[in-house]
Amino acid sequence: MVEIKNLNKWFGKNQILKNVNLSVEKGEVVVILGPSGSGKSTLLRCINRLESVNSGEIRVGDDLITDPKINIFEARKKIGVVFQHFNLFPHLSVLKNVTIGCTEVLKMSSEEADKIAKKLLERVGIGEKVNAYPSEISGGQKQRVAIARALAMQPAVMMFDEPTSALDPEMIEEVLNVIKDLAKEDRTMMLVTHEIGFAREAADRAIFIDGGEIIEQAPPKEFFSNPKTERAQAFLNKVL
Amino acid sequence: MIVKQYLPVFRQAFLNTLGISAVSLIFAFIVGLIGGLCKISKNKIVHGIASVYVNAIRSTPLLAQLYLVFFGFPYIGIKFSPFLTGVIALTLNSGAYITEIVRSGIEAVPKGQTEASLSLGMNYYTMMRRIILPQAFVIIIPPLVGQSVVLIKDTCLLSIIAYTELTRAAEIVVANSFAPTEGYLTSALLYLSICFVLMSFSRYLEKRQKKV
Amino acid sequence: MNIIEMSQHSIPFLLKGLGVTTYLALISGVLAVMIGVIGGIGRGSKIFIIRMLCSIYVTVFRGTPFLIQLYVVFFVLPSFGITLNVLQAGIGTLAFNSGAYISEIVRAGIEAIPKEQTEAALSLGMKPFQKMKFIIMPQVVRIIIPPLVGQLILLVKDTSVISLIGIFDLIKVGRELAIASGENPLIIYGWVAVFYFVICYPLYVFSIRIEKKLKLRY
Repeated sequence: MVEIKNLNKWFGKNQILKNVNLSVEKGEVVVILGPSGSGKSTLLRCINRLESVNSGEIRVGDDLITDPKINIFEARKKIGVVFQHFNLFPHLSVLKNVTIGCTEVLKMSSEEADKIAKKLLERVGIGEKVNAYPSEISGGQKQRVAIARALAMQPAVMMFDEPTSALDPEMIEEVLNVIKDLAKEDRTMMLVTHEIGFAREAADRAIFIDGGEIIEQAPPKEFFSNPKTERAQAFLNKVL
Repeated sequence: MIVKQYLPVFRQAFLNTLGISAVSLIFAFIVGLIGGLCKISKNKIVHGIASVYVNAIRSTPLLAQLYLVFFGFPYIGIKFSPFLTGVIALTLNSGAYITEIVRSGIEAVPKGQTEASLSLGMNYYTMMRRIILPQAFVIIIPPLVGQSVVLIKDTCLLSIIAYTELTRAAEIVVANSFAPTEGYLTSALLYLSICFVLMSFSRYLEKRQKKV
Repeated sequence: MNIIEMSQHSIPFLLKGLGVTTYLALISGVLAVMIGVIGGIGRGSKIFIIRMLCSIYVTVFRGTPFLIQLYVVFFVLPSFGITLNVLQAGIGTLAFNSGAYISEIVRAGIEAIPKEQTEAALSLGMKPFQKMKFIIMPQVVRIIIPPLVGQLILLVKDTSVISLIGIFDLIKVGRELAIASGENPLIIYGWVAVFYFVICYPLYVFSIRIEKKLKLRY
């Protein structure tokens, strides 16, 4: 579903991503782990071209994202993104936050969009907050709205950039439960997260990145109990 | 070219403009400082007077204020020279805006600074002089520079009361030479040069503040 | 004449002048906002020429006094083939003058929107125009209303300068009445000030109230 070949990215003189090669199958749930500054968020942001790349190829489904000639706006519809800081639209109600992508980008009718949105908001557990505004709901609720907003576009891939890092501890669980639920369906998902517990339970593969390179990848059971590289071991020692 | 002929007129007017601007600014700043302190005062009378002053000035055009001072005052028996009239009108006008600038500057200093000062046992005067006002001063410099630009442009209205600043110089040149293009455009360019320097300076200050 | 008689005599004329002032302010104001929005968006354009032209426009109009601009438009443009009457010159110059300040206000508003809003909008597949229309500009409008109203108050007061090229607005009527009466002009100018106050002060109060109501929290 997602194929990354020989990806290199520089930021001025710093090389953020070094020759990254990664492949994610359809329906696979991968978790990307690593220390701060390792380039994991940047990698995700390159996939829907929020960041440009210096060399290499990124393919999502049939779209060659790195090709300057493709219609990136069309391609982005198939990639759903959930951000660390939610990034809800403060001037729109919860319902409108979810439907705006459907009505303006997917060109659905507002009745159709409303139906889909209400169902998704029910599913993530905030059906009753439909008419509230982002400033009136908690962080955990905001992130669940953000998830509903991304799902409403019926994307082929869902990407989560540290979805629980900005939440107070008591709200992390409600958001992780929603994500775990999604992982059970046959969805292609890529997550950057520090939540080891989630990785162990719900991921098909754990990918460890450090200094812009993929150091190790393995199914979570293997990776957490038997890391093969020194750097992975060092990281896990600090984190577990 | 016509401009060369009248260069001395423009030169003198340029200096006059800068001169009256500088004098008015100094007085306006003093007025604004006092006004700002009054506006943050808890004393209702003091606060009230400052508010009335600010609202009256900000809700009426400078031209009307100028007419009042220049044409109205003689009837109470006071007659000022054009220079003095200009300084008074500009001082009172800009003073009101600077009052607001000073007030927001003081209010922008974090409340924690006041709390720390009082906890050290400082009295109001010491706290203001040593802790609050110095910090407020740094904050208000960019808007103050902005207000200076406004004041320099406001001097153009003094042409009405026959003070020979840049606009009046242009009018004189045009009247004598029948060349409105050269006359007014020269004036415009001279204003632009002063304002451009100040506006660039203000942008530079803003960038520096953002870094902090 | 005593104060009351003088007031009674002048107020009808002053009200006519007030009408002219209001007319000038409304038309110039609407035009200025339109020019300002275009200018503000143009200032951030990725196309060099547009960005440069807008910057030059803003710098020139903010760096010269309104009266000089008025004189240039009214006395200099005819030499280049553009002759405007007092009303056209007044409204046009005022619109472009205020438009320059409004451009700066709009630009600051756009830059105040966090980058993350753009990212969220793009991630939904929105095109740049859709992003501006549905996500960025609605938030910009809320942010800029207080400084915008402030600028419009200045615009109302600047209409008085147009009297210097001959338009019979509130202040010109006041001036003529004062000259004609030959007596203490303070009463007449007093009423002139009151009328300006009556238009401007409510605008100021309005801007404070609406700022509180529209405050956006992220």
